[in-house]
Amino acid sequence: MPRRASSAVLGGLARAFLHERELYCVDGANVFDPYAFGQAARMRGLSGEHILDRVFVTRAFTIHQLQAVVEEMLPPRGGEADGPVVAMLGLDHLFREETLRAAERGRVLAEVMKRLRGLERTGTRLLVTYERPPPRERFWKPMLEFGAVRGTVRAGTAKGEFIIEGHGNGTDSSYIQHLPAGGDRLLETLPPGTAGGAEDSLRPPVHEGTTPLGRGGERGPPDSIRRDADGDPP
Amino acid sequence: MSTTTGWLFDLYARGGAMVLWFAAEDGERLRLTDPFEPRVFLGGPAEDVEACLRELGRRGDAAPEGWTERTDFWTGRPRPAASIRVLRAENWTRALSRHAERFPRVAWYNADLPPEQCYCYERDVYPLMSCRVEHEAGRLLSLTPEDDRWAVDYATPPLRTVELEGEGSLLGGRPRLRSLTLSHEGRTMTWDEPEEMLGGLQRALGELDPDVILTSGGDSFLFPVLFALAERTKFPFCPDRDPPTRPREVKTDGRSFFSYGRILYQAPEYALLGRWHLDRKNSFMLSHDGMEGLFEVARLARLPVQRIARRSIGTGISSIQLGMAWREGILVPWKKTAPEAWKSARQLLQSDRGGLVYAPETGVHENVVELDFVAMYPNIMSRFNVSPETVNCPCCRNARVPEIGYTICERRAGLVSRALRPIIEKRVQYKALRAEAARAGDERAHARYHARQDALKWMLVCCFGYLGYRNARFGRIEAHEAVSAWSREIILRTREICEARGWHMLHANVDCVWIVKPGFRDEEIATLSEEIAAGTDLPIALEGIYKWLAFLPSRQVPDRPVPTRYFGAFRDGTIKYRGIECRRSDYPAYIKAAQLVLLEQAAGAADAAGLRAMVPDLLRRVAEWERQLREGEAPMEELVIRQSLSRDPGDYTGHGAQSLAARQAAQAGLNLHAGETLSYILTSAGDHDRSRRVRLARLADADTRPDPGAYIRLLRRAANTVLWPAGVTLDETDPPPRRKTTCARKEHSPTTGHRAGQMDLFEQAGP
Ligand SMILES: [Zn+2]
Repeated sequence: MPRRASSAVLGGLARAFLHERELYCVDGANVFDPYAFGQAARMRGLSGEHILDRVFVTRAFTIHQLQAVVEEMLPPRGGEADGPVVAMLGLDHLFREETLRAAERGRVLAEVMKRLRGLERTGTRLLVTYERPPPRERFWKPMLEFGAVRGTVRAGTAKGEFIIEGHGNGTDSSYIQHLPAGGDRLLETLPPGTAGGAEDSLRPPVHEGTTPLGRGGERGPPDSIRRDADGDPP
Repeated sequence: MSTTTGWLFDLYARGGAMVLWFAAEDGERLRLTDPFEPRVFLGGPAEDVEACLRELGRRGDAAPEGWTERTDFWTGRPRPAASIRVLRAENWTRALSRHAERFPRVAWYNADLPPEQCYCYERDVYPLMSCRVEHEAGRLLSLTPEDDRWAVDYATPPLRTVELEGEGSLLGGRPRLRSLTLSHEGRTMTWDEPEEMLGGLQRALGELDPDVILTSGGDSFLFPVLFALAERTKFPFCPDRDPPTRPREVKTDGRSFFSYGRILYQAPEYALLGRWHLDRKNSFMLSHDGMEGLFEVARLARLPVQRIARRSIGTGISSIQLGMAWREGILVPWKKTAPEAWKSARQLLQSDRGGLVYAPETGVHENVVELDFVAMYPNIMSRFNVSPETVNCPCCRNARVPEIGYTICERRAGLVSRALRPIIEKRVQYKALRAEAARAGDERAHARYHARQDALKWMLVCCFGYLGYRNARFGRIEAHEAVSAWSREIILRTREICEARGWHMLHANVDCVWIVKPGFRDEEIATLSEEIAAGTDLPIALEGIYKWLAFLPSRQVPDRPVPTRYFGAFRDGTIKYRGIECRRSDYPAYIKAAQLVLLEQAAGAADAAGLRAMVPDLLRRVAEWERQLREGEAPMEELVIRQSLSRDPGDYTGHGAQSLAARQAAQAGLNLHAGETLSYILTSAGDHDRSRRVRLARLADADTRPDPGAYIRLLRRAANTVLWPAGVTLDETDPPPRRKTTCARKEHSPTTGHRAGQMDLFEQAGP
């Protein structure tokens, strides 16, 4: 999923979990960005440090890893009663890999969704984001059936407990988010192209040294031979 | 029974056997068969495995061999596994997918290895191995190695090589060939008529019986066109030594894939049987390190030459690791790599970082010492036991990895670490041999050892990437992070050691440091290197001492230092440069050559003052090139800009030169893909009609004229990089492309920014 839009989703998630709750992110699209959380925290006048220890992530790079995460690592902390919320970020991404055999990715996706439904039945609160798949591709059916809220959405709870914001770039990549308690939490749906401001509001200008998380900026893929500039000049 | 000595030349599976081709010492080419069925293991719930075994047997896909015990890759503990022999290797990939889908709880091990690899692992042989074979009636009876994979001085077979070239096009979906040329030892044969081509080529191949057919673009163009022609004319074209059992699928479309963030285009493959087709344009190995490099990797990785030639270098390192696991009875899981353990956002921030960079102090520095860690990442993996199964192992707890506190196993030596060690050592040996050859003035030996060590270098470099690469068999993100964490710690420690000895660090970049110390003696460097090596447990070497070295600021933000943008002259007059125009693939050859000339001249300066004194000379040269550009004397082919497509041509939307050229390609129906190279000429950069701004090189004709103004701007940009340390800047904005011209020249100090001043370039620099 596009990085720009995903940071808005992350920012929304962060706002929702600025209190004592923990959030576990399963990142299937390599979009998890700790800075998005830090900045959302700052907007609420909290320290980024506060949130850094409350948000957890595991990154999957193949559909098989994703399946292993869903089957072996969820729910986190053994599924206690008031357990943490789990966010599946970019659930669709890895299944779009062209070299996968159709039968194989269909089977794995079905198994992943089956497991997620099972988790939800036993009380795990789940949030799923994915890009709208091409219409008439039957393959995505189990994922679409799982989604309760469709379209480009800005959603939250009236009671302020849980706020999610997310939007695509207004044209080809809307988000579909499955919210913990279904559609009643939907506040408003924005028409395409008007959502731009929301992200900006989540990303106030960064001045060096003022970001609680240190240096701001986009993260690159972890598998590259990237050479980061970190550390202070001598 | 007869006995033959020679080299294992080629191997491939066919009908329950391996076909082995030997290049005999006496020049004979020998085809032998050896019955072989690859072995695969199954694990998981016993009832599922048993059911799967029955199904495999019922369908005739594999023959069960019974239960046995093997070592689990992740835990190092023994685990029961059912062994099977694959009966029809050619159909196995399909069968495997079918069975895996039907029995999802079965775990498969060593399941997707090509049969040639399994054969080499199991029989302990490798391509280009020198050996003695006993055979009878085309069957291999015994094979005795007379070679060692780790030897540095091995003989390679003398091969008969022909070069095949063709001219034509794949335009409009209908392949055309205008002429075909085969060259062999200085003789050439050319065919111009389509009806003669296939017959002529077939006859020539029969007479010459070459071992190798070399092409440039054989996979993407020549062979698909030849096969299509054969299909159309119903000619039984067979370039193989051993006719294939089923007809080839003719493909003209390859696929694009990512490698280190850059899109590469993978052409379809036309590998031959019993004979090699090597395509320079579809072979990283061949184009970088020639046959010597290719042979070295094929031997070490035990991969058939045509396969390793076409695969990324990561396939080679993977195969070395796989072979090691295979021979040690370690089960290599198919498609199941460990997911990342939960980490907090804080841990992610700490761990998901690359190497350490200290921003350079921009400006010109004199007497700078550069020290480089030798193969830093591979050495970290090898010396600190970093391997997917040793990081955060289930058996130990020690927080040994600096900063991020991961555990490294104390009980097991990791597979990746062990696989790397001999490669690192072999490369050190080759480098020593290369130095020896240089001293002895033996150019051929020097080239040979250089190519071999370079091939090993690529293997080592990509091993680190593979630890973090999502599809790598031995990849694991935590191992990748551990290596980076160690590298940062090592640079920190290096800085402390340097400063304790009175050195000042100007810049550090992942595995290199640039240091200065007023009035140092050369002997101090050796002592310092030893101290660093002892303090970090990693070898470090002197790259050189610069007479002067310029660290350049960012082009976009003039006062911001950037790590890899510098050039300098070593004491012996050689220049080193990184990140500047002449290293960029998207600059035209003419501009790059010009910059190189300027650099070479600058390298004569003894110090910063000498460099400043050279400015009038350098400007004179620039003025002459500008004249050539203006008067159309620069050769057109040297002005071609080559850029790798990051998308398919039709997907470009902007109005930049590359977008315009890409759209021109799409409109012309050129079958280009993301990852392929786009070549174009700047023709009228400011034209209101955007389609006239650039011209695709392939569409260029007698009327195509390069835009002098655009190229002069590129030239000045390249010249300004070299002039920067001298505090001189030529105006890059808009030199009017007329004969008599004045141009702006700005003076600035490298550290305080710009101060504008106008002067006539010709007055200043003219003859
Ligand atoms: Zn251990």
